[in-house]
Amino acid sequence: MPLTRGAVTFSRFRVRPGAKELPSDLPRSLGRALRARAFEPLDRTGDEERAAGFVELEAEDGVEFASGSVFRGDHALFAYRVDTLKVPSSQLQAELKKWLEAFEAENDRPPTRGEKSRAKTELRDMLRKRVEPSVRIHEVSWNLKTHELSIWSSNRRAVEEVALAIESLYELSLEPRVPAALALEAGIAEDALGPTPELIGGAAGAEEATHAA
Amino acid sequence: MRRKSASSEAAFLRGEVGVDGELLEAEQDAAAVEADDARAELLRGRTYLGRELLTWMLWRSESTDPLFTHQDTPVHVNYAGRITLRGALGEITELSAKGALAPYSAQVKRALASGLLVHTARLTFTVGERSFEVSLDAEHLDVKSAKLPELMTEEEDDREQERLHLADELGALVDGCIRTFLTVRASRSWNTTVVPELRAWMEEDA
Repeated sequence: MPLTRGAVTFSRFRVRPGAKELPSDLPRSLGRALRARAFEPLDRTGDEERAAGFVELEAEDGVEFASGSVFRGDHALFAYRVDTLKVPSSQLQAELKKWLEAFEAENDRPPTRGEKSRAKTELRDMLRKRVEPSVRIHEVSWNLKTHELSIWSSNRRAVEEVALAIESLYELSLEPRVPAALALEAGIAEDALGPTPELIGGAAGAEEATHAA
Repeated sequence: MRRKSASSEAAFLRGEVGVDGELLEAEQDAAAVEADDARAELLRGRTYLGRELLTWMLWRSESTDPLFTHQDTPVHVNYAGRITLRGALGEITELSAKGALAPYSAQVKRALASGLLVHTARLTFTVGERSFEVSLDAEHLDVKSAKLPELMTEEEDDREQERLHLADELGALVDGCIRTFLTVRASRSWNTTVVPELRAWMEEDA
């Protein structure tokens, strides 16, 4: 768990209420909200290739979210799990080749397009039961006192997906801690923060800015 | 002369230029697409502010003065190791430098003077006797591969709490840098004093 050991990588956000205010009993209601969007394992017999949802920090299958497992001091700690189940195409092609050889040996003819397509579907279903899904866990720490939230992942796409999932918990908004957002917080007018031509344009930009002045 | 002619011929044979020696349309398009991408990246989410911040911090960190104070303790910043510069207007859109003193080298300053700005850097915050090491990028200001100060507690639960507290503190230090920069950036002195001094520093080794 990167949150508890090793080098530290996380994206930072400020939690802001959206259309509705955050519930006053947040510590109690957070467990319910997480349970409502909890992770559900992939059905090996179905077609879904991806499953995602919240799990407990210390148990990647845990979806109870009892307050003892979620809260540590001022922090709520939980995780977002993403499972992907994909049959490798090389494995499917190898199985299909074996099936083609067996079919031709048995029937003295190549299979029709329909027969081949049915066999491919059956082989994919069979392989789905054998292949292990890839599991990714993205940890989340939410300081309920300072309203700072961190998503402990180095994968930007994953960070965006987890942020969206958290926003949907209470229709809240997660603002990245970047200069533009902090400027807004400090009441600095947007037009006071345009690009600086002397820096962005190098010597030519500096000259241009001098002439403009 | 002979070498120039041979190189033009080689470029023609590689299909890079036409019989008139001009760049083929596809080549020009590739350069235009790259320049458009670099410009889009610069403006996306006001990334230029993050680059100006990291560049301004690099300049300020050359002095031994603290950058700001955090909980009444002075915070010093030092750049070390790999640094990446990016730009949107010149022929070079990205330049990387590696080495313990690379961020303060004459080569990096020259590149900054030509219009590239710091996009990613490895830096150390020293707060009293503690130090936090972190890599930052200008677009998201995400905390990457950070090393926190040594933990003081021994109980497993307490260590987890302490680590969380230190991670929060590191976030507060990054916010402190941004706020200090924004105060200067939004003031009148930015254009009249700070930027000319910053450019003079970039150009001192040119």
